[in-house]
Amino acid sequence: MGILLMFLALAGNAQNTSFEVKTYYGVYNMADMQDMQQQARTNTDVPFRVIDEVTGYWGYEIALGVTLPNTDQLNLFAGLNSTGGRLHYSDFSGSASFDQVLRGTHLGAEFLKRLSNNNGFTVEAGLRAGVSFTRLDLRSSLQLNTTGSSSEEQQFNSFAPHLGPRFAVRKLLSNFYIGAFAGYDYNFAGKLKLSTNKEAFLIDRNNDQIKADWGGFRIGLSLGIQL
Amino acid sequence: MRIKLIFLSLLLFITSCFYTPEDEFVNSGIIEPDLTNFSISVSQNDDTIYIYESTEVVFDIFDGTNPRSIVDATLIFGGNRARLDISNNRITWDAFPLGSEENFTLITLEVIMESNSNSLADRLGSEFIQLTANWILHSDPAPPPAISISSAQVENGILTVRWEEPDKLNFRNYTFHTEYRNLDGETIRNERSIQYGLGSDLIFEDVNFVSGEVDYWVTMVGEIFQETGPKTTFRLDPIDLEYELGPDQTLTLNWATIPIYAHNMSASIDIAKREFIDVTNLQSTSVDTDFVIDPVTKYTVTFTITGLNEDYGFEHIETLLIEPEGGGFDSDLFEIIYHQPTNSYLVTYRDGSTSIIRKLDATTFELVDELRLDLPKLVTRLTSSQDGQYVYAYSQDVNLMARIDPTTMTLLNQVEIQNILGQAPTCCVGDITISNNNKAVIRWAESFQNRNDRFNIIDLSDNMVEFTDNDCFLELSPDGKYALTGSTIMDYDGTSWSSTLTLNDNEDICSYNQFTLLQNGDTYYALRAFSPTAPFEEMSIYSWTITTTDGSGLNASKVLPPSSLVYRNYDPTSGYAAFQDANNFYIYDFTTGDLKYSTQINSSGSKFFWNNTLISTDGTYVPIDIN
Repeated sequence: MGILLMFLALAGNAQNTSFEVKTYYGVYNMADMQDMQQQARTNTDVPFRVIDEVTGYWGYEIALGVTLPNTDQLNLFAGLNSTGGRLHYSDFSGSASFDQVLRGTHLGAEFLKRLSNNNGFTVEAGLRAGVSFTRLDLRSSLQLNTTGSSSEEQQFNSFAPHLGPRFAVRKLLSNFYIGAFAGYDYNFAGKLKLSTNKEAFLIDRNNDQIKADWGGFRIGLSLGIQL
Repeated sequence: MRIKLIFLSLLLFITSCFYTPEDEFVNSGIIEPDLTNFSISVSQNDDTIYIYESTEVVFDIFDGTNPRSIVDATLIFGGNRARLDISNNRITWDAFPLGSEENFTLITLEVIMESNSNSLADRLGSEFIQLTANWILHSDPAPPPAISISSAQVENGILTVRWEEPDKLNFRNYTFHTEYRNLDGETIRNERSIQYGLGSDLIFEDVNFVSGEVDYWVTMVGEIFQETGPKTTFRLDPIDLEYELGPDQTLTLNWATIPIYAHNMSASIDIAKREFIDVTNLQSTSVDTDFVIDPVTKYTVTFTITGLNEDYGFEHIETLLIEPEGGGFDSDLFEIIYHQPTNSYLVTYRDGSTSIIRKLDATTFELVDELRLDLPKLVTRLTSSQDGQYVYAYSQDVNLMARIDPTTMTLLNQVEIQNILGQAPTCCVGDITISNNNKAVIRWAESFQNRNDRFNIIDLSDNMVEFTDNDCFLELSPDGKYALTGSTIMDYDGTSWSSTLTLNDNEDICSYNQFTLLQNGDTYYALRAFSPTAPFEEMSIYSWTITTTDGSGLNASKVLPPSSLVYRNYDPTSGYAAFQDANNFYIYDFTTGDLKYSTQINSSGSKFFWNNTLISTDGTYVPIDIN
């Protein structure tokens, strides 16, 4: 709340305010999720095939920014990440699947220092920080022609702060601009707690916590409007 | 409003672009099991299962030709569920007649098996397949009739027995009987249980029978009845065994075709326990032996065919007696030697398990004396020392050598013969020659399979093996001081035998027909007769004289007497040696090579020369003056 108030105060004195929509491809550090998928594959008589390995996927973000008097940029952002993994097998006798669906919602602020501005082409670099809320849905299903079908779903949640550098370029076109950016996020992933029992959290066979780590490299495009 | 719409559209777009697991893997290589591959084999082998009494019915489940394990099975019989025993791919049901009247009852069998399709459901143990089949159970109050043997004959060298198919096909328990009577009158019975329908059981190839007679019959055996079919007899006629003698008196045996030859049989010929010949080709009808028939001796030849199963003692034995004109020595298993000092023949006989050595007057053949040896087995070799002072009797079965005084016919001592390993010779002791100093050369073989000759020189005084050799010949001089082996003369230094003189030729010594080491005082003669084809074409006689006491300075010479001679004996008294060809008898002086005496011989047999006396194996002896 303090950051928001400070942002509103700054916005009042700012030369420009902007609204920005971003999409990016994130490569996430989901090693725990991959191990979990591998264990699920090997600890069953079902001859699962890996359809999706838990790895990078597209993410989306909106940002509200102000240009400070010294032309530096301060943004508040909110975004959504998703990724997941899938094991599946089917033949004439039935099918089986094991899905890991991950959703990450993140909020935060970033500061970008303008490095150059030539003919409306702006280069900026800065830092961002925020928090992320993760939801993991684990779904398994088995459908056999002989015995019918069954399925199960469990939901886990986690909370984690994140921090990372950003590098961005923008081209101003009238009061719109387009841009591209790249960066890296460090995610301090927390326990994935069972939604129905906050005392329970996800571990592997070695009793190590299984975490959803959204940290990793990002690269994406942005479209903005000067308000 | 416009901004709200933009936000809403953006939110929908973003939501639709979240990760959603949708793709699937479909394994189209897994297919549903084809029930047409499955089959149920029933022991009664027909759609209608005939029973007369409580009968075990066996159902076997197959996937193609492979047995298929069963999870569960249900058999409905007469509307009721029957009790089953299930094991692997087999279902066993004890069927029983319903009532005492003839009736036909439906049987329904349902079999449940794992699908083994490797599908997901199969892997998770929830996929099964079910087979259903029906039969008619025919309860018949009339028992099955007896089964007859349809043929028992030799087919392609094998005695083959065939019998009729049971009239009631689904009765499956019967027993095949054989009763053998061999040539000794011994009867052996054998039974073979047969379950009809589980194989080609209408034929039996009798690999045991090779001799005598055999009866075959089949008995049907049930819980409450038994039906015995008629007997069929097969008899193997004797094999006509005959013989011919070659010009050199070698034996050729002929026989009729052996009718049974195709299974694992063996055949062998035993010529008077002195020569053993394996007949490797059972379809042959003759064998040429190297065995020379002595015209004064009776020989018993046995031709033995042995079947596969020796435990039953199934042997076919044909016996042939080869008998000289006018009789001959009345023994089919004996040794005979002429003993010059007493002018007698010493002959071994068997009396039960006791060996008897009889001394016969060489002129009258009357019994002079006899010695009963306390040997549990027969004496197989009888040998005189070269000066005739002692006679040695050897029994291979107990490996004992007895030393006998031939004048008084008394046993002096017995020793157990050893080979170089300190063991009894394992097989086939052949020639034994014994010197005047109690040393013996014993010829033997390692085994029936390895007939390579081995020789030992054994000192019978202390039963020590002094020398061993696997050459073709080994002979001792009469005084035991020298030995002839191959092309080498050896002498004994009190510890070992070593080469003293080499005879200069490169002949293959194994081709020599005669190989003898003679002695006249200090002069020794090595006689080797070589004959690629009989009669003998070359004879080499080497002689040497000891000029020093240590054996050095031997002086070798070579004397060649006329060819085509057979060496008979050497007379140390005169120093003359006797030879013989097909028509004449010769006496040579070895020292000079001069022919000293010759006479025509007739068919009365071999002759010997001893101390101015011409001795014939027909029992006559004639004093002669050869000086």
